[in-house]
Amino acid sequence: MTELTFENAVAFKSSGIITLEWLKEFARVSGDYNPIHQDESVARAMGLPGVIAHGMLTASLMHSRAIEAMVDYRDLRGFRITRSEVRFRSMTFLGDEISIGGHWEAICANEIRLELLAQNQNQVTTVSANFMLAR
Amino acid sequence: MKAFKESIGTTSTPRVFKLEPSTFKEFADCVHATVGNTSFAPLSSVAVPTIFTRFREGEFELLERMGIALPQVLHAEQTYEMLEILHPAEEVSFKTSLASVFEKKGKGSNMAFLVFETEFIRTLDSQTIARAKSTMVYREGVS
Repeated sequence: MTELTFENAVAFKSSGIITLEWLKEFARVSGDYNPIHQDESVARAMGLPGVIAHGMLTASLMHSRAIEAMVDYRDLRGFRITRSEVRFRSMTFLGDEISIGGHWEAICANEIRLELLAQNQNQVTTVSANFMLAR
Repeated sequence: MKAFKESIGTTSTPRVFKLEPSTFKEFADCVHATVGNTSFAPLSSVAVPTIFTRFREGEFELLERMGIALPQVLHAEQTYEMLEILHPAEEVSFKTSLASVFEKKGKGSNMAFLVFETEFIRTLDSQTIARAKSTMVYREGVS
């Protein structure tokens, strides 16, 4: 564990490559069975280039990355995520690799903000999120 | 599109849930949340906040009532406010309302942004533990 300074970036790190099996598992654990996340023909009928990942899968991976980043800093003991705002900017497709990273911002002693981006293998931002941490 | 605005203020059927520890773990495993396995005590018992995404039935019910099929919408934004920690086996009730609707002109079609708000209340003490706000985009002409 290290001390948190706001020059410390949260390094971009791969969260995995999107597969149909992963999307089906996320549908099962989240209850979101929208067929555009599983069925190529439905996705195309909706004007999409193909099956797209659930936005909430990427959003959840970002929450996991946020918690993982918090654990790296001893000064964040006792903090928890009290608010998150996620914006879905572009679609994630089968075979895309999701990487997540960002930076810290201080608000005050008891409130800290973490801003994260999810990018695909072409460094296109697919989702942006900010997290308020408080204790 | 006009008909959607008439649905502002409608509310879903109230629902109740209780999540078992195994459900927390399944969700955490799927979204690569490994913190539960660390010794970082204050966090080790915290569910991944997006586990609340399991409780979008209220949204789906309201979409259906508006005559919108799930494939016709895309997720635009999601906000969670976590007021209290959600613990396994706690009974929580929730209902969803359509809070607002606004329109934008897209590249090829008009789009309606449907904003749903959900409040999660712990049964034991009637305390609000979380609030969720989802913005879904409906694209006109996609059916």
